Amino acid sequence: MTLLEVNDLHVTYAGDPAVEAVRGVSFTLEEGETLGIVGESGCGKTTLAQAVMGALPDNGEITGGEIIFDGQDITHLSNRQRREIRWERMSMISQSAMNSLDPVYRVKDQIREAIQEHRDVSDAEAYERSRELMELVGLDPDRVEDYPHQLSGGMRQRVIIAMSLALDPDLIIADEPTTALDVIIQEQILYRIKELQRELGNSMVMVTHDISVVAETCDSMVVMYGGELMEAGNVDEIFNNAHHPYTLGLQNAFPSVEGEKRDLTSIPGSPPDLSEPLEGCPFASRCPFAAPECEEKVPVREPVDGHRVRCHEPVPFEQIRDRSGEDETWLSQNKV
Amino acid sequence: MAITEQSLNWDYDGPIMEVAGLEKHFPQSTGIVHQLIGGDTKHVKAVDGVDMAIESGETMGLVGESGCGKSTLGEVLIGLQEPTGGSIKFLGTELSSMSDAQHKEFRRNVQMIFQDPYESLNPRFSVEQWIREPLEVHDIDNQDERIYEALERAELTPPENYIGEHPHELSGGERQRVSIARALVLEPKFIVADEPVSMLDVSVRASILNLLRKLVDELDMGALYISHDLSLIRQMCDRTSVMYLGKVVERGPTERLIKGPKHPYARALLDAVPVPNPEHNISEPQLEGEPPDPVDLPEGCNFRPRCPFAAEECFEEPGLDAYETADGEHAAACWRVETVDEM
Repeated sequence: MTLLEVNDLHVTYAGDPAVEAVRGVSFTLEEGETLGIVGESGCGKTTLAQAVMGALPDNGEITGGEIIFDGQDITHLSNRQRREIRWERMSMISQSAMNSLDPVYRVKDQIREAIQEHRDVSDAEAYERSRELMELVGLDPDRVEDYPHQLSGGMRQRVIIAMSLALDPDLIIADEPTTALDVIIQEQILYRIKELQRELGNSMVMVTHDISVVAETCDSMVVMYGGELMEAGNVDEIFNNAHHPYTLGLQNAFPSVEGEKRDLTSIPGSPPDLSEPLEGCPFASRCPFAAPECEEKVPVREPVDGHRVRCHEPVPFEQIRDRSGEDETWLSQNKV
Repeated sequence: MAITEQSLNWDYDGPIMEVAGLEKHFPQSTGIVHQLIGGDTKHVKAVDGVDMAIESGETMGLVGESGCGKSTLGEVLIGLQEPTGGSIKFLGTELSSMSDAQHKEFRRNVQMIFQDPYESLNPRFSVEQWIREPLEVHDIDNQDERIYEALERAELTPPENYIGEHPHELSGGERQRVSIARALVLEPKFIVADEPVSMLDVSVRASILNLLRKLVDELDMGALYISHDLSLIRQMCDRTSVMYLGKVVERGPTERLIKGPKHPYARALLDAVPVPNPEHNISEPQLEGEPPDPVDLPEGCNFRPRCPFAAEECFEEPGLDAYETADGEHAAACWRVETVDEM
């Protein structure tokens, strides 16, 4: 059953100039599934996550499209209605969350407050629940007595995960949950998140710049660039059969400890200015395969069922795939 | 004044940087009562007996978790922090016994490239001012020429397009290139790069790594590349040292270490790196918890309390010679390498 459906979503930040950070993105998330949203800084992935969560900054506004959660259109709910869904039915683990714990309150009080805001439970019950949650995320329950500064970065991030689970939500949105942590702690936390998901059966959206994290933890994925969806589908399909030059560029730029060592490619240039309207493909100015048609509206094609690609495919994709592994291809761009 | 006495020995053909038994212990801050009653001061052993030699033209990788002492080691090597014990030799000359002139020469020849190009650049400085500053500090002539050359080396071409820019006008990759140009403008012989690409977008990381590699090669510098991520180390480094709680616990040629790590800690570090291959699902971590504070270190092997393979013999401290391949290139401070290999 579909839990979350995002249709042609647009998000704009007011200002001078206004910035349209998300430009018509669509995806669905099935119950119990994990969807990865991957892209580089400024691609709109965090904005997209915040829009779904109803946690956009004050100057951000949904300017088109719709968000359907569990059959209900939540695109334009009032703040109060949103608050009822937030944390109860969906919760968020954000990038900087581990620094967002209040330094003057003990962990147990912060978890209790999160619970009591939504549920009518006694202090004693909330305390018991906070100890349970600590154990769930692999922390010693006695550490609920600690203040945040007594915990390491990895432990604080676990507390945030505990809080996001406090009300047993159907959907957890994790925005770069392990970016500031080293690989050992990252592995521990991602493993724990996946274990909990297996136990509790919740769905998840994982926002990250790291395609290896998507490969290891997600079922399906959306690749974003310049506020738009470039490619989307099942993770196995996208890793083994990527069509889009940007997806292939990212894959070839990514180092691995597996297999034989290979030279990495890079993608020269920088992302588009999102304060400008753009008719064609946002990646065209960096794409070595771009042709004049890429300045026109790009249709979404579906080469395989469920695999969506937004690309004119100016040269056959087999050629794109072969040539995108070579650094020269990217360095000698025939820009539009 | 005899130049030979003043100047460092540039004909020295040993390792450009060589340390032995290097220590950096910080006194741990304790309460005032503790100090008044004359309690023992405890020490955080950030670097605790490191031996390492880096040749010109070679990049040594240094990998470990946060808090393992790798950044402190980097800072001690280039003189940003003073060691509390052991020896540092640059071009064969002991750092602590250098004359003032030699020490000045040392400072000019060792440079650091930092993690965060956003924070390391003064927002009010233009690129030109930023790169000129070290030249002023060391009172070096032909400044304009050197600035242009440094920008070209960092592939910020043509230099005219960049020289008047300010940090906010540059992309992340360009900013890191400016930091590299600044580090290289003094034509150093040894650089430390501490997580230089971790803040950069994936699509520009490779170009910065490739640039660093090329420069180390062309300028025949020695380099120490610090990271927690073996997949980045693999792209950059000829040899790699694995550090845990202030000590090097494994060292070897990078490819050999990645294909066959020997120390249980190195095995865990490698296992923890996510792989861009969907056949891999995240597996149960080999290590629980985090490294303890390097204050009250356990008896014997430091890693023993976290080690899934610890045994009786591990109560005796292993040196890096506890396991060594026949060619002497690959070594690990672990008594149980063969046993674990068989498991």
